[in-house]
Amino acid sequence: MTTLVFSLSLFLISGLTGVFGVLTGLGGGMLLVPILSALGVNLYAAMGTSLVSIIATSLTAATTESSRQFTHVKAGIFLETGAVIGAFLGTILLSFLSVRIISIVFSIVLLCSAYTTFKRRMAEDAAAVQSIDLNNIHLEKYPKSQLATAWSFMIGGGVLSSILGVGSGAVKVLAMDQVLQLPYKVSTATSNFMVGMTAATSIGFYLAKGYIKPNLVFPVVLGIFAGALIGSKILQQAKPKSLREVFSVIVVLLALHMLYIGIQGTT
Amino acid sequence: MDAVREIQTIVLAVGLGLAIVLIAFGGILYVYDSGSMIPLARNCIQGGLLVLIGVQLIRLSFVMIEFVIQKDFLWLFMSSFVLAVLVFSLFFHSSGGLAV
Repeated sequence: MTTLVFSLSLFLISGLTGVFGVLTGLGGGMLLVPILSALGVNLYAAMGTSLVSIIATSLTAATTESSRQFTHVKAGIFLETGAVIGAFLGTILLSFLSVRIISIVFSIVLLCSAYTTFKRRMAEDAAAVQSIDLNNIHLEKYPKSQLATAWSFMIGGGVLSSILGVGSGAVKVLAMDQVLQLPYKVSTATSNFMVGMTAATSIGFYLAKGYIKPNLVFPVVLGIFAGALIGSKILQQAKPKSLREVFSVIVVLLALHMLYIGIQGTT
Repeated sequence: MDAVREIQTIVLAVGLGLAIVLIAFGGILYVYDSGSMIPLARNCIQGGLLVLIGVQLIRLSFVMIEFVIQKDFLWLFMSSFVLAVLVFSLFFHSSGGLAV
C-alpha cells in the first residue's frame, strides 16, 4: 500500500470515527483505538494518536456557542482535580500493564459503553424538556458524600484515560448525569471541557516513550477533526437514537476484537 | 467577564487553526515525499501537536483569569492544581518518569 493510499484510508476511517463518535456520544477515542488496532497499528501508538485527536476535538467543541452556553466550569474544574490525579496515576500504572490486560480492560469498557449508549436515550428525552440555567446549579450546596462519589468516579476515569488512550467522557457524563444529577446537556458540554485536560495529562507518557507517530497523527487528527465537524452538523438533523442502536452493534464488535487481542496477546 | 470569554474563544480558535494547518502541512509534505518523514514534515506535525497541548494550557489559564476577576480564590486554587498536575505530568515522563 502506498503512503498516499494508507494516509487517505486512515483519514477516511478517522473521519467516519469522528462522525460516529459525535452521533453516539462516545467520542472518537473509544472507537478509534480498537479500529486502528484492527488495522494492525501498535496498540500503544493507537492510544497515543487517539489522545492527540481527543485534545483537538475538545478544543473544537470549546469554540462552539452551545458548548460555552452549557459548560459548568466549576463542576468541570472540581471533577478535573480528580481526573488529572487519576490520569497521572494511570501513566505510572501503564508501565506495569501488558497489552493483554489493556485489551481486556478496553473490551469491558467498550461493552459498558454500548450498554450506556442505549440507556442514554431516556436521559436525553428528559433533558430535552428541561430549561437549563447554570446560575441555579451551586456545587457548594451538594452533600459532601455526593461530591466525593463523583470525584472518585473521576479518579477511575482518569486512570482509564491514560491506560486506554481515551477521553473517558462516558465516565465523566455518568458522574455528572447520574451522581450529581446535572442536566444531560450540561454533563456532556462539561465533559467535553474536561476530556482535553485529562488527555493532555495522559499524553506525556506517550510522547516520552515515542508512541506518538507523526505518520499516524496527521491523517487521524485531520480525519477526526473533519468528522467531528460533519457529525455536529448531522446531529442537528439526523435521528441519533436509531443510529445509536446500529453503532452500539459496532461497539460490541470492536469490544470482541479487543477481547480477542487480550486472549491472543498480540497487537 | 464576557470580554474574557470572547478573547478566549478567539485564542482557542486561532490556536486550533494553527495546529491543524501545521499538521496538515506536515502531512502533505510527508505524502508528497512518498512516505519519507523528512525533518520539515516531522517538525511541522510535532509543532502542531505542541500547539494543541499549549492551547489546552492557555484554555485552563483563561479559566484561572476568570476566577481571579471573580475573586473566587477556592476555585482559583483548584484550577491552579489542575494546571500544576498537567504540567508536572508532561515533564515527569520526559525526564524519565519512574524509569521502569
